[in-house]
Amino acid sequence: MFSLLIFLATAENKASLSGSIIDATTSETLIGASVYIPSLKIGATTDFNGLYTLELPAGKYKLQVSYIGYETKTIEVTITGQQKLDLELNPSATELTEVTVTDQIEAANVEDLKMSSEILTIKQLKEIPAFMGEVDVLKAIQTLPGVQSGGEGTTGFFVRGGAADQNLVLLDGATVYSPSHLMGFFSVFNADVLKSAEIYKGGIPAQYGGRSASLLDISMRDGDNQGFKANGGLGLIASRLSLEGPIQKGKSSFIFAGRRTYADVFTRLSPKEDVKNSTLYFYDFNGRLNFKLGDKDRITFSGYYGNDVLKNKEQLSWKWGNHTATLNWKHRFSDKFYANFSGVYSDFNYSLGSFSGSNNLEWEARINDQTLKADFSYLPSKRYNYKFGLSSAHHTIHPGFIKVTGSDINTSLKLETQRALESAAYASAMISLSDKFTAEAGLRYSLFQNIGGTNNQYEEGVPEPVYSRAFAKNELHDGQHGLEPRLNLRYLLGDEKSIKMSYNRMYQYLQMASNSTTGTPLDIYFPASSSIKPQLVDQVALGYFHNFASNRYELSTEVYYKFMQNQIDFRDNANLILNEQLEREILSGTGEAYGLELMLKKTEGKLKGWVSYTLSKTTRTIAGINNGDPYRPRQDRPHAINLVASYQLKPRLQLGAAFTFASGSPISIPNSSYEHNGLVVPVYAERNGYRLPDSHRLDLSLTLDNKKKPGRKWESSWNFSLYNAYGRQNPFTIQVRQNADNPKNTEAVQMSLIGTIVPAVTYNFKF
Amino acid sequence: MKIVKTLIALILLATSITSCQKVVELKVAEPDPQVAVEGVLTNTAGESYVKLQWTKTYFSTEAPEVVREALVTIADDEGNIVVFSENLPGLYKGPASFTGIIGRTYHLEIEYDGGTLQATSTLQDTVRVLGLELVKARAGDLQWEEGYHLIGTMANQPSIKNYFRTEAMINGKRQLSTASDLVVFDDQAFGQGFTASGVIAYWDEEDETKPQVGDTLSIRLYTLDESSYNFYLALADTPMQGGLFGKTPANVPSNIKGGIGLFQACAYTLSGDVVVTE
Repeated sequence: MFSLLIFLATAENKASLSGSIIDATTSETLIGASVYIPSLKIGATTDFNGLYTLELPAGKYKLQVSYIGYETKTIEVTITGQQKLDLELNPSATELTEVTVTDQIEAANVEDLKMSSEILTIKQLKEIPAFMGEVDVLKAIQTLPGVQSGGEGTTGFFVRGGAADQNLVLLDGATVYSPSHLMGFFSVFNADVLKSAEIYKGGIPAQYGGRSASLLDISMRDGDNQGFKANGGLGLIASRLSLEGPIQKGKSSFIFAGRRTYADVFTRLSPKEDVKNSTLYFYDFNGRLNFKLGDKDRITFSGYYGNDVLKNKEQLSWKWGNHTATLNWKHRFSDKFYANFSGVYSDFNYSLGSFSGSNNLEWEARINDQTLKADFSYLPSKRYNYKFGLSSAHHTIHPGFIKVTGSDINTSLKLETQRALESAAYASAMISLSDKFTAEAGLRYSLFQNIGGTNNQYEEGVPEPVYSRAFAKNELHDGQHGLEPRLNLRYLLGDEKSIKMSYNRMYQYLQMASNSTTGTPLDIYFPASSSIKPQLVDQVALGYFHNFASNRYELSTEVYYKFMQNQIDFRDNANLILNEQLEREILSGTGEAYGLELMLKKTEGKLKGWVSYTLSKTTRTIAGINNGDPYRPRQDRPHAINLVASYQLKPRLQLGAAFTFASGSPISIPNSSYEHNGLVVPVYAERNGYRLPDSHRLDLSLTLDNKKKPGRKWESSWNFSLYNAYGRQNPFTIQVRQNADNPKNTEAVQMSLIGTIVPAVTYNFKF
Repeated sequence: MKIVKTLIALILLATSITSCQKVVELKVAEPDPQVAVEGVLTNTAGESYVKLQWTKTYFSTEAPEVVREALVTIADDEGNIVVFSENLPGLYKGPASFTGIIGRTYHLEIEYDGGTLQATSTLQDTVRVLGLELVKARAGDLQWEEGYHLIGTMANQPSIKNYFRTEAMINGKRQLSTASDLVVFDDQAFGQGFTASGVIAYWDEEDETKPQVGDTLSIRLYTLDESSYNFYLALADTPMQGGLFGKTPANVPSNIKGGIGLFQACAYTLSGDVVVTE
């Protein structure tokens, strides 16, 4: 298919129009903004670099430029040859929101080749009510169909039946291994510096790989290159401040931002000794420098540094953090040929210390990557768009350094550092075969090699390795590789209707195994090796997209089927502490997921938002777990409903609401028991055979913009929010236990991490 | 385990304003009952027994039904066979003089109305308890959590792979009411050394069963074989299973072929006594 599409690519001698679309007030490039020529019914959207290209016959046209949250602009252009046109859009003033509806809003939902994906702009994110008023991109994507929460207090999200480690989360191209603060209550992404977030649940472009379920691509803003600005917020639990401005006006800019929670300030005031001695906070910093070097080059340098700290006087300390850095150079060889070079560093580390009584324990672990990437885009005509590139990542995994000391105990264990090289090459071609039919075919080749270290082979029942080979420090060995075809097809059924299909195969060489119900920072990453095969996932999706009322309403319907191979899980009663042979505790098998996703979106007007429904099922079948029978993983929640709405009550007053419903997660509850030594021994008939009660919650928010004083730059607003507005006690877990008063009797205890209404107020300002 | 408990305490502390717990009624499927074995063979005369019972629905408050009139025999690897007869309903005991011999492997066979069960276990050599101490820590103690800590010091035999379980006793009465009270460890506790100390039991100030002035404290130190160790290790994890950071729930591994439960040959030594003085 791929070679066929390339063969079809014949040169066309027509005029072209290309350029960038930027925010007129901040000079920020806009991703996903559209240019549309109504008379030709052709259009284009800006890519991740804010660039667009249109191929069209020479002539005079009316050009319509639009973007969510911006005033639509219509301009007349005369195009003769290859022409460059940079465009600016003004953010729509709050008062104008209701009149930006025109009958020419672009039908991106229908016309775009992409499916199973969603772009959330920062403006949309801010309209969704947030926990403690902290705008959160991870919580926002969990309102989309096919994306599920692991429950309040868990660090992961689940996409189409995939596990939490199967999501590739990128911040300016750098992998973020643990994207949550404070056990998942907040995400690591500070909304003040974000430009947009795009999630792919399927149809993942050939450019991306390494994780098998989804891609969440988050980009930071460049900063205003025209004037200095500050943006901040004072909240009940955290405050934040960002500063941005030009380094050289019009050519280069910076943005820096910081956040810190101060729950620990309150705990210190507590009369309770244990609360008083506890420390619990996180902080993070973001920064980005942006340099425009002439018309053809742009260099950016961005980074993230964040840590969480949890301490209880001298007895316990627990710290974890993500750190990333990205150097990016975009070069335009011509209007038709672009390149994007990146050098990326990513690090996630954690440490745990317990110092009490006769036993002291210290545990440290980290994972880091250094990545080089080169991506090229070639757009010879409006009907053809080629992309190709290379990438190589060096992974270093320190699974654990564990030290136990005490009056008479002194033991330590350093699990062997594992290094690996993950390389990939890809090419894809997008071709409009007719006005109605567009196809994109891509092929990615990925190669994963272990570096140095030891290769151990084990046999059941034999304590020591039956085969062991040590490799030289930088020796590449045990290469595993595969081809990952990708295909997207779209057929227009008219101006407002289309059907789409996608297929993708994804290899995942780095996987996380978690032996706890909730996931902990102590989860362990395993690289593929001679004993652990890479995960392999095939997904096919079909979709029907229909816009109504001049594209003001967008309906998306998708069905998908996924087959997953080499899915790993720990064997029953796995021992992970002080275990040098961790890979022996891993079992692998297959998984399956399928579902239906419906979403109706209202994009314009006083009332905006979406309602979505997901019907899904996922199972795992692993020999040695659940007697080898299929079982439901925690993310198997058949029904999910989300309703997200924002309503402009008055020009300065906006109401936000988000309702979420999901079937309970499957958990294991013992069916029977027997006594041993007077103790109750639980007996489970099956893994995850019981389902928690359904979860549902309503969050509300009210944003009041303060009156802007003429001649003053200071703008401010109040955000009042009610999280869990009707105080639902959603079950986080149900555990069984022996009754404290009568140990012969047993009982079930349900725990809700948020069982009350959580009100919050945040004061936001900018100047 | 201690770390996980502390982490949970911290998380609950962090979410103390919003979190809540409540006892709920669950409807779980009722499976067919299975025979569960509790077989104990020790190095002390008259203490060995085999209890047979049917599993019951997890939330049932009724006493388990016992298995009557089974034929229970224990054979050793020297060819000696001993019959355990039903002493009380469901409780089978050998002759009063029957004593397990260190180093021998014992084979249990049970025939009951409905099937046959088998299990094997080896009686490991004992190691010594070198010392016992009761530490009472007050609030604000930097090293110890407030409460009573019973600390045992034990010897190891580095030439053998050993597995251990300890039981605390107050006035000769075993202090074991929930699986959280289990203390199970292996050679790794000793590191490179020959001795190791550890907390065998802990009581907080509010605990009604805490040691009182005049009480006599002691411990039993059992040596186990690997399958018994795996059974107790998994059983000790069960109270935390499924909760915050708790392990994924799984069945406690059994060494009974055709049934569930544990047949353990376990030898033990006793510590000296410690009398609570204040």
